[in-house]
Amino acid sequence: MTGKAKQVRVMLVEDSPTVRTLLCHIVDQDPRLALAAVCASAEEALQSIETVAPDVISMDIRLPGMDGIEATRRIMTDHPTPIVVVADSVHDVALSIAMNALKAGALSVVEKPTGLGAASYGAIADTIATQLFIMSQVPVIRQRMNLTAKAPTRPRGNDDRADAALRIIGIAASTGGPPALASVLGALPKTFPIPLLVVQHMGASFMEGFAHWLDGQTELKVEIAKQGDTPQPGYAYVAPGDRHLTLDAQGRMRVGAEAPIASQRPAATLLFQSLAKNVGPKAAGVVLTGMGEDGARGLLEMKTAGGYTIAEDASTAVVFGMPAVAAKLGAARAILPLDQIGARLLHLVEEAHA
Amino acid sequence: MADIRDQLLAAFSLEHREHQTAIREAFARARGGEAIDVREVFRRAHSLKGAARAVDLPAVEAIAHSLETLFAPALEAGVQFSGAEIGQALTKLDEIERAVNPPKPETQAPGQDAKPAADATAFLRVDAERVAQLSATVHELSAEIDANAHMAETSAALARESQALSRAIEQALQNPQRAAQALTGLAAQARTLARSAALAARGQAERSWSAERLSAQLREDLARIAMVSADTVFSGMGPMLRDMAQEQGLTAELNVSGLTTEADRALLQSLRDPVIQLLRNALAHGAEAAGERKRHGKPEALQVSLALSARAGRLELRVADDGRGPDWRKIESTARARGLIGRNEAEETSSDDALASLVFEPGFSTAEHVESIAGRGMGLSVVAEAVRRAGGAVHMRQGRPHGTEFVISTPLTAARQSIVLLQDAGARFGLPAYAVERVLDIKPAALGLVGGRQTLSVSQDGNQIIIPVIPLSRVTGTKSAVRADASGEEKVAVAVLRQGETRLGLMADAAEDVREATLVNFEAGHVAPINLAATQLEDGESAPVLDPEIVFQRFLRHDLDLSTDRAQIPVAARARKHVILVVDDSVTTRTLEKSILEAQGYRVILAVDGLDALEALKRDGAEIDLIVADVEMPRLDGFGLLESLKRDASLARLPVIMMTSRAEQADIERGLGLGADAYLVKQSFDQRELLTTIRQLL
Repeated sequence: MTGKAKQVRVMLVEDSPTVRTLLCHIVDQDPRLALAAVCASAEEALQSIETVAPDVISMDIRLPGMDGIEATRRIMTDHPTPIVVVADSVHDVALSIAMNALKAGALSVVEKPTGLGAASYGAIADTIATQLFIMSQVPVIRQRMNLTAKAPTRPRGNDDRADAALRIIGIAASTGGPPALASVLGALPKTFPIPLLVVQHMGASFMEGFAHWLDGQTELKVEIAKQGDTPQPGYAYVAPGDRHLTLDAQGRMRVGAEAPIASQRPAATLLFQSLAKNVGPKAAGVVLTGMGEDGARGLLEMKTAGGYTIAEDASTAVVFGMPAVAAKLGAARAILPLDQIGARLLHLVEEAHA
Repeated sequence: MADIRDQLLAAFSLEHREHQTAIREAFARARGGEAIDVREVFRRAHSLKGAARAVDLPAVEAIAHSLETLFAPALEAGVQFSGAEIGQALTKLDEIERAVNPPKPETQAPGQDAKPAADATAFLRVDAERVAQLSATVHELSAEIDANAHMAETSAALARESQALSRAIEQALQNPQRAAQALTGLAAQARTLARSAALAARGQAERSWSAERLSAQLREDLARIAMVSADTVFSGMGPMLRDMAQEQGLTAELNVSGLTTEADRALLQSLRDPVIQLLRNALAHGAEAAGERKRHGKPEALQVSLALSARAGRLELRVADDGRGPDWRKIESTARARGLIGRNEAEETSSDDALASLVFEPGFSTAEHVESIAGRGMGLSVVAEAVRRAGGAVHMRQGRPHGTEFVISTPLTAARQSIVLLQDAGARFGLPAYAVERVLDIKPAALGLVGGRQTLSVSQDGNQIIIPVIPLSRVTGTKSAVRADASGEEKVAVAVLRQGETRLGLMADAAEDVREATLVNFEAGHVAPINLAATQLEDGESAPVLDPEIVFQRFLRHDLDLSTDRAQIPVAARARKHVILVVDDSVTTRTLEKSILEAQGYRVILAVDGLDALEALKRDGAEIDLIVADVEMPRLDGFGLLESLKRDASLARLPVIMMTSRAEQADIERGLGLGADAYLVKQSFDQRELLTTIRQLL
């Protein structure tokens, strides 16, 4: 086959021999991927990562000896490589570990594969292979989360005042979203008076667990958004898996199954558009790290409608995709490094209520 | 796609087994009061869940998930599992076991070979360290072979030196005047030559010894790779026993120990059915009425135990119950009734030991009526046969304090073992090669004396170490011709036994080469523990093989007084020679084959053609172990003979080697198709090939 793109080299880290066999099969069957190494433990992976230098790592979360989180942290520090976490999607102890691995720098999480005979096999296998392929393209940088004081970069866009008292904030993220959201929401006290609506691109089966995990990362209460509810202060609402989240003219949340926008459902652009239309200048929108361009158009509409808009700066974004497009469209009134976004939101609220 | 499914199922089967064993063992330790790694147990349940999901076993996945939920609180709180949690977990593990290995219905008649589970044979988990060990041995052996190549050069050099000396002598002879002068030079040359030759000889001997040792080591390493832990074959016995008991309206509990014991996989597989039969037997003959049990202070359920252990190259399985024990009077009367004890022994009552061996005779059963599981009288004899085929023995004895105990003892690996043979006082004794570090030829004068004990100084890895030496006769109880303090020039052999860092030298008259031999058990009767086994030698003689562990134990404990247990020298007459029927119409061929076989210690019966062979079989069929038959014969040729044999149930299993002067493919296929075990061509007749084939078939 001529003109074949170079295959993406995958390192599998999985302690169950059975699941290993299946994952190897899934990688083998996908022409985009090639098996570079198979490790039964985190220790093995760390030992061989220098020599193998894979393009992407599939990491089981429960490993003998060192667990997946510590392994992720070490890899992101010593030999940063895109990591895709393989986890059970059932809401349980294992899942918060998966989310914590995302916080430690893993890029995305996929469901453990079912057997060949299961109806869902094809879909799940495809998701795994595709995630591995996509994430392998993400240029990862050395983990900065653990570093302490670093010089704050000058925020571009000096605009630090909202036009009106804020009523609602919309936040969108994709690849690298979970730790970023944890960082932003984590900066907000439980007395924060403005409810937040969150769109995080992630496998539908993980959303409940994700919301539960995020709840543990912030003083705010985090829930899955429910159709018809009115957002309350002190809360953040996460769009449920595979559903669009919008705010209607009555200020109530709407959860819908309309067609995906640019293959995304939930789509951040749809959320932002509804905020622009129904709330106008009393809304703020934030686009964090993520691949693709979801949210950029919607953010622009929000800005045009008088709302306050923020995009994450390239210096902190794991993937400077969505925020980059937003910036290019001129949709953001402020482009800020991650650690300043929460502070900016607080500032806006204080200013407005002063 | 089918291939990957098989792979997944095979991988799952192994993984499931591993997790079950590991978790159960952890619980056993926890119940014993030890602190265990809770996180690891949780991880295993989690892995099992993922694995079950990967092979489409949603039922198992669900139970594994409930296990995770059960384990989570202890994990999160950072404490050990409670007794209740362990109990619940074990129940769930049993459920998973049943879901993965549904119990098979009892359709097999006793005596039928059970087919091993298909998934168990597909994959073999091999210890990475063993592969490394194998690799290391292979490297050593290659180095040895390379060193051997060097010997050729040395020999060539020797040849050159000899020729030079020869020429020099010739020259000297031609000049008698100069002869006297030349003589000194010639003497020097001769001395050099002698030295070189001696060096070469020694080097060659060393190389030879090393190569033998390494290739034996290689075989051992290879055998070890095929070794698996017993739990891969003997898991699930507990539920099986409980189910069998339930069918009978009884209650029984099984205690298993030693599941981590490792042995050759095929061997373990071959012992699985015998063990199951012994369990059935325990139920059938050991079960007692509840009141009876209470009176003796026994727990309500029949306690059955299965213990596996490995020692000194032997595998031992014990199946014991705490039931009523062997009914010796009943066994004796049944034996008499079946003619197993002669009428003329009516006066003496046979010893329990002798009676114990009778229960293994085919057709022996003391059961009143034929029950569904035991009692047909086939069970124990089948056990004995299976164990015998594995080169081992099974004994029954009274359990202590009550009940019955069966002990199966077999060599750990089905492979032949390497034996070092020592000659002493006209007899031969074997030592398992794995325990012998080296064998030295020394003059008695080389022995030193330290603290009143004889010692030998040897160099090991560049250091000099002192090894205590005792005469082999002290161990075997025989009179040795070698006196320990002989100062003569007669060399003696010292075999250095090694156990860990402890070494002991056994001094004997001479040592023979290391050889491969099959270890067999002694025939029934009291066998001193120091006798590991016996081995059959080529000339039909048997030599006792000593147990190095016992030697060390005694040496370390009694410190030289080993006279408490003498090694038993088996009576030569008991060693049974194999009988081979040679069928050929050519008197020359018959004579040739007969002499070859008899030289190897076989007994030979001759027949001139197929019909004659059938006559011989009618007469001596019970004795004959193997047939070597020509193809082209009058009246009834080789193929005809084969057909007749296979039609007769009593003869069908006799191994047959076809010898033919026609090497045509069609003939070979026909012969093998009819059931010949081997096909040898006369033209390329190589007696080694015939002998090797015979050895393989017997």
